[in-house]
Amino acid sequence: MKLTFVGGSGCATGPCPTVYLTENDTFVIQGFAVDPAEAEIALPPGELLVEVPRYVIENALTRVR
Amino acid sequence: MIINMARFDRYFTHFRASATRIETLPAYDVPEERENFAVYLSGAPLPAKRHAEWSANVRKAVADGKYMGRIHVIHDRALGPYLQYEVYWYYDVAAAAGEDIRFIFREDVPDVDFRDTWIFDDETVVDLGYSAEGQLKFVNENDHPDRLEQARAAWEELYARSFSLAELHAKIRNSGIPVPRLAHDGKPRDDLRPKRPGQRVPNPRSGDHRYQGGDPAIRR
Repeated sequence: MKLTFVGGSGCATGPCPTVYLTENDTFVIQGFAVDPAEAEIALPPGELLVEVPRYVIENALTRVR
Repeated sequence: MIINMARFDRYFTHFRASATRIETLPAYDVPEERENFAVYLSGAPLPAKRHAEWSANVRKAVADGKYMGRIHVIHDRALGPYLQYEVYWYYDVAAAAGEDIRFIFREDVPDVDFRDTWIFDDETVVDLGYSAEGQLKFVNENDHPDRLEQARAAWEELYARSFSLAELHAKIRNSGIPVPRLAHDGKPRDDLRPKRPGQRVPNPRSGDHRYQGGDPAIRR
């Protein structure tokens, strides 16, 4: 799977939430794992919850529009 | 989990045994600090009550038998203007209150994977996310066991090779470390150099050097 960097958190050091674009015109998100039980989400098999700061998504969207 | 400032703040008064900090950036850009940084760069006398709130908390924690420590990673073996400001405005005061403040040269720990982090009670890792300019963007409590091990190992490795604030002062006195007089933007600050010995340098921002009180809310 080939990912293209779209935008990140600016992580010169430290944690690194990031948005990537795939060849299929979908996004792949790198973020912090969220426990579905804590979030009270019934998660289907094969899916994951991740958390990223709001500005990471907002900045990424302005770059691909 | 990304946590808000209220929850982050709670850790500093509610930790039971230890709070340790790794600082990796040569400069942090904290809006609440800008005025104080300008006062420092102007060469004006440092306000006696600077960093009072934080230091009172340190003093209380240490009196209660707790440990507070920090290691600041120094880049290029030089003390840039912001780090000079940190030393004289914050570290000297906090160290007198009992915080164990230490330093290490980046070149001495090429093999260690470290980040800007707080560890509370040797069990809770809080990672701080910064922009390239040093602005705090978010605070993440990372409860993955592997991250805890990595953060503990980083603290232990850095600590083992670090040196104390007193040793840093000795290096400065003995010219063992360069202390370039540069502005935040990296340009030489001719305007901050006294034109002749003993001449007072005006504050570039204002003529009023009175300390406004309060500590920076977030970058500790």
